[in-house]
Amino acid sequence: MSEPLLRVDKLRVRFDTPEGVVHAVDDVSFQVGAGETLAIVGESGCGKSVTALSILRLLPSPPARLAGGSIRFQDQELTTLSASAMRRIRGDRIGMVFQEPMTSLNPVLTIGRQLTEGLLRHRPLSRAAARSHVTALLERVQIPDPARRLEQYPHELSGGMRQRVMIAIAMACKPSLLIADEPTTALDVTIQAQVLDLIGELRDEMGTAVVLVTHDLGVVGDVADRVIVMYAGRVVEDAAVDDLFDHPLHPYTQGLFAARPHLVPAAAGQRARLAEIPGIVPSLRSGITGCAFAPRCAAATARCRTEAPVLRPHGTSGHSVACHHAAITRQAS
Amino acid sequence: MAIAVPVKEDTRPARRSALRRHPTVVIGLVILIAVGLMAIAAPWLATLDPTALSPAKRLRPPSAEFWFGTDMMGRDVWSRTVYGARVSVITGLSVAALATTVGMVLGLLAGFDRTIDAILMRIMDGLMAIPAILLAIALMALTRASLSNVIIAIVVAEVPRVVRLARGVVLTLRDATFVEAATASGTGFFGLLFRHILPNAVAPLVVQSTYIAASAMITEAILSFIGAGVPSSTPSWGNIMAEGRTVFQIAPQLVLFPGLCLSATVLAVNMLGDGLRDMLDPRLARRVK
Repeated sequence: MSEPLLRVDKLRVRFDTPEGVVHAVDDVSFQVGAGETLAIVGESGCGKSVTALSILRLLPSPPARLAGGSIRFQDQELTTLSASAMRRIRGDRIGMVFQEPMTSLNPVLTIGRQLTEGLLRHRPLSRAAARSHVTALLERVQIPDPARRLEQYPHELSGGMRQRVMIAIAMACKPSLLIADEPTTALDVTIQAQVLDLIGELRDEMGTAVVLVTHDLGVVGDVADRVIVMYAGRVVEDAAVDDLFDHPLHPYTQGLFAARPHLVPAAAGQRARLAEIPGIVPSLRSGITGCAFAPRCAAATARCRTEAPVLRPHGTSGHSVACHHAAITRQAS
Repeated sequence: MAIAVPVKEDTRPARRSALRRHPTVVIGLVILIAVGLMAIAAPWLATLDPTALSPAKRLRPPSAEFWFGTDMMGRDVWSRTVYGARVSVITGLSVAALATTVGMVLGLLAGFDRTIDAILMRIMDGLMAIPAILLAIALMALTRASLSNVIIAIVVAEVPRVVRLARGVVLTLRDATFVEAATASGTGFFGLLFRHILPNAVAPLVVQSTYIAASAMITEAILSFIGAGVPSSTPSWGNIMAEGRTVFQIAPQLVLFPGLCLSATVLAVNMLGDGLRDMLDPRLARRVK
């Protein structure tokens, strides 16, 4: 097998806060092949956004600090790259879409200027050539009347349209990798589907790999090839999307699936209570001994509280899980 | 084509009604333009040489010959007031421009570098602990009286306020998502600074600079009034009032007319500033009201 497009290996990110060191990301490893879509799933504060941001080295430092691990992208080690080499990669070979389309665009610059900004930096284009390129791009992301939109300011566009513009900015240089940090969270449901479809279409057209950060399992099922599930800064499960949906192995993943709302209640006439995972996410400030999920896990034993489970392959399908009882829970499910 | 026409048309009434919705801007501007014209056209507006002494015609009340009367050395108060507008306008404009520029640069530095921030802001806190007028008097005591020294002294006294504002704005903008997004698309430090942060900081700084202009005019008048400002050979509103102070009871016009001019000008600048703030930052205006 050839070298994957992106290989993250034992990534550790720490935040130095006055209250102590926060272990935001702990030994996270994953890889993304060219054209592949990887979803990073987990609840708020599990380190999924931090992982995504650290690929482009966008975390403010201090307080964030890379405490170990490596990020290899197209045979280049990103963690040790110079600032100027990093700037050449950002926006050119790796594009990024953020969660909040309302605040991700500069309010005092026209859409056109913001769209051409990255393009003019990374490509030897004239202003006119860049303009015609982004007009076509706006048309491609299904924004009507693109020539007029280029002259407009962000406040004149709706949230869905702004997110399309953000995607157009991220894709302007045809990057090999697109990092989308909860791209649909701030949008309403109908727009969410359109934006996801758009990302999927562009990925297929341009052969771009996608790292999609989300807490929405529905989104994952639609677009991802592989999924990693994160909990308390660690990867607890790593599987192909169908495999994960059919056989979630980690009790946490199973809990996430169980917590999805269903349209049809189990027993007719009775209001089904939405299942939840008991307990709260542990504080990442104190070093966690044993399995981070143990306090909330029904299957937890004495071993779970003392010995941290390692991510290891389960079966032959490339499904990995970090749980002492994965075999048992699989039977139970 | 049929669609493009109405779109073009509805932007213009919107702009016109913006001015109508902020009448303070219009009133302020009209007064300021009048004062500005007075300063520029002083040689033509003045009926007599403002420094010409005529001891025979001391302390005359306002009349057809001496519109605002004469002072105790027989100089024409109207001519002196007209020339005095120059000092006030120059002081207001240059202090506003200099203090805003210097303050913005220092504020940007402080907003971007923690070490500079720690040192610079303690100095600014120290400067702000001294009332602006006392600081300006102290600085003037160190040099000789001249208009440029007055301006420098007032700039030093006003700069800390701008630095604090600029630093605050930069700190907020630095963490804004669109700055992060620009970084993610490969924008370097100076691109971020000049394309993304500065343009967003302009509105609050422009508003602040109008308040600084108003405060500078008052400070200059006070300095001149207590004799620590522009040399007494140059007529300024503060100077004229200072000289008229002793004869206030017999010739009130000496204090009255330059005082009225100063009040009207400062009021106009403040009205302009308030109006600009409402126009540029509607959210802030709503919060204040």
